[in-house]
Amino acid sequence: MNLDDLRRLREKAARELALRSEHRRFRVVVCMGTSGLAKGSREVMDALLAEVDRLELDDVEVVATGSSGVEDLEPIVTVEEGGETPVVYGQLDADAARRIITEHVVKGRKVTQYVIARRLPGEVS
Amino acid sequence: MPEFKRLHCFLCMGQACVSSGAREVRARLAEELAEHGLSDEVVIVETGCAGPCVHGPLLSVWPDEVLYHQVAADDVPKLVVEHFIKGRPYTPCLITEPGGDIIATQRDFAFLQRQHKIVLENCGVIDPERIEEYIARDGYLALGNALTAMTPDQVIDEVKLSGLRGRGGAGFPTGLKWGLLRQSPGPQKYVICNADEGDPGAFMDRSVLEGDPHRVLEAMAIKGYATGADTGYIYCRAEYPLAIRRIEIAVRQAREYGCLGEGLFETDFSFDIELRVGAGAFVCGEETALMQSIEGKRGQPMPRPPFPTQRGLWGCPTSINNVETYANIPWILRHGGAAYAALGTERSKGTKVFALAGNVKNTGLVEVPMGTSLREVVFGIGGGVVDDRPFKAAQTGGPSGGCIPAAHLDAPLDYESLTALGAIVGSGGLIVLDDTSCMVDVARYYMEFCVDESCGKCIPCRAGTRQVYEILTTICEGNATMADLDRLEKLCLLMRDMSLCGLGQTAPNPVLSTLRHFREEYEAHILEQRCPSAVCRKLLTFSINPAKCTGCGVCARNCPVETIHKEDGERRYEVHQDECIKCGMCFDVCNFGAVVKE
Repeated sequence: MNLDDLRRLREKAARELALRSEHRRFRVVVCMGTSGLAKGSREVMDALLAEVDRLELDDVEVVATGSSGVEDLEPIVTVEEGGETPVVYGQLDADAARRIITEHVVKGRKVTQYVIARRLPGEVS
Repeated sequence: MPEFKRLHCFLCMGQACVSSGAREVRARLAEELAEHGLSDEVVIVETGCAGPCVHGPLLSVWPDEVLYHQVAADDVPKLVVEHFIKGRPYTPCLITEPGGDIIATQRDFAFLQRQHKIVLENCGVIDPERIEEYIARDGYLALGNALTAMTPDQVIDEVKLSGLRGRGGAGFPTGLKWGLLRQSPGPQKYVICNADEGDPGAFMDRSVLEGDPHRVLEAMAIKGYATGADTGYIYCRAEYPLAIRRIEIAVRQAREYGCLGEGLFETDFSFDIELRVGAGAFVCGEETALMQSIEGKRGQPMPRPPFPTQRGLWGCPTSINNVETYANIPWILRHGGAAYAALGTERSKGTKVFALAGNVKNTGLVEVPMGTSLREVVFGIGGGVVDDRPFKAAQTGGPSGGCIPAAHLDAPLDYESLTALGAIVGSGGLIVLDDTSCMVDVARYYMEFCVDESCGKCIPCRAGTRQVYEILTTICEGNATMADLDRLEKLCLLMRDMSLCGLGQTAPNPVLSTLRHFREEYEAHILEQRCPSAVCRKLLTFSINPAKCTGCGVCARNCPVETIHKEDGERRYEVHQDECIKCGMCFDVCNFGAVVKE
């Protein structure tokens, strides 16, 4: 092994550990309360994670949260990008979840057909 | 299995957390994750000691940064459902600050936030059994860079510039030590890592080896390059099985990755490390005894000179550093000696790890810049004295150290200030004593340790420790005279000046320092037959306060010599002093605080 090999190894390993640093560009929040789980937020979560993994994205964290209160629009996912108004997607399935990653997170284009709000009701801007 | 994980769960697997049940928590967590189908998206990372040992078993969850403490296996099912599925913190395991505030994240936890971590920067943050995680945190870059871009002299100059001094206790300048080995002629040279940590209460070396073993391997290889040695030995005590296992794993991985072995980083420098396990004799932490032990001989100190850098292991030039000293080296080479020298005080540079123990709220490992005040460590980071009792003294440096009384709470913790106070930085054990500790008894405790651990080679230490211990015992039992006190002091000075090695020379320190700061306690024992802290049992009397006694009789039933009675027709009990053996049982069992100990 030479120094360049070590540096390459470091880059690869650091990607794996990126989640342990404090700041990432995107935060994808999945509502996983009882109603969300009943309407398929688990499949949505699985699809999001698989897509992030497939594309080797290291600037994204996917987190679970409780119910949004808007039960009939579940599964609901919020995409937060530092400084931007969060975008809320609703009535998602696995396919839609994958598109949120490939379109919104990677290309910066909102998947308008699923957007239900810019931030959730009651949230302070 | 996907590589991207939604959550990283850090489970502290330091010895303290393991003892309080971390393995059971680990097993249960794996079960619950599998049960809920989360095994692919949540990873469990076993880390080394995170520091706040009193809160173990510790579990922290990233990226949420939520910190759980005292997690029991039975908490795990609910924790998994609440946090990992529903995404809200599981409140019963969050830490509550003394003021009542709940601490949800590591960022809010003063114990962690007020520290400055260099030696411990990876402990509790990486999995010590995976070299990749060390590499991800810039591991082995300092070695690679030194081998390819620096000359040995440049490496030594950088260490000299940092002002780093030996963290094993003596405080000898590290760069100077390396320079001596480099200049010493000889085809074969050795470097040694002293991991024979034996001071009661000190466990920073163990934590570094358990939590970040590659750090020490990297530093030893750097030292090998700088000094011309091709072989290193780690001498670790057998009482540290987890540290030993992690060193073995780390050495194996480092060889696989080409960080140890032949022709490192495509240069002609070769370096390898062997592990030697000591049987746990305190004296083997002394460098000449340590080398005897590595050679397979009985661990006894040898007269110096010749110093190890002239004639050490198997007659070859050798240099020994302590684990914590090594653990500073990669950081120094990565950030430069000047950055390290910017921390600390004029003559004591960098940071020091203290093992905070005794009557303090947050026990555990604390790393602070040299020169931080004792008050900040005990009250700021340590959270103050247990039950908010008065702070009496801090004992530093274990059986070679001394006590710092409350009057010197603002003393900076560095080599010079502590030496001036009659204490030492030593290996960094810091034991907080409150008003229930008798200083004579404390001195006696350490002397008892030295009696057991004296190797017996030289008379001042072998006979001296025994004689000092016996005088201290007579004082504790109230049978001593003021002449004994003079004898005690003379004997201590004689041991200090005449013993062969550091063990005997420093063994009287706890006595000398308590005599200096707490002489009135010694005198109370001798002149008034009274132990001011109510510790020395032979000098205590137990009686029952009739105003508080309810006549329940629990003391009488528990008294082993049946000397607590009540007169016929009386409601309250009394202790018959002539038969009392002062065992303290009545004091311990009384539910009403009616038994008086004085």
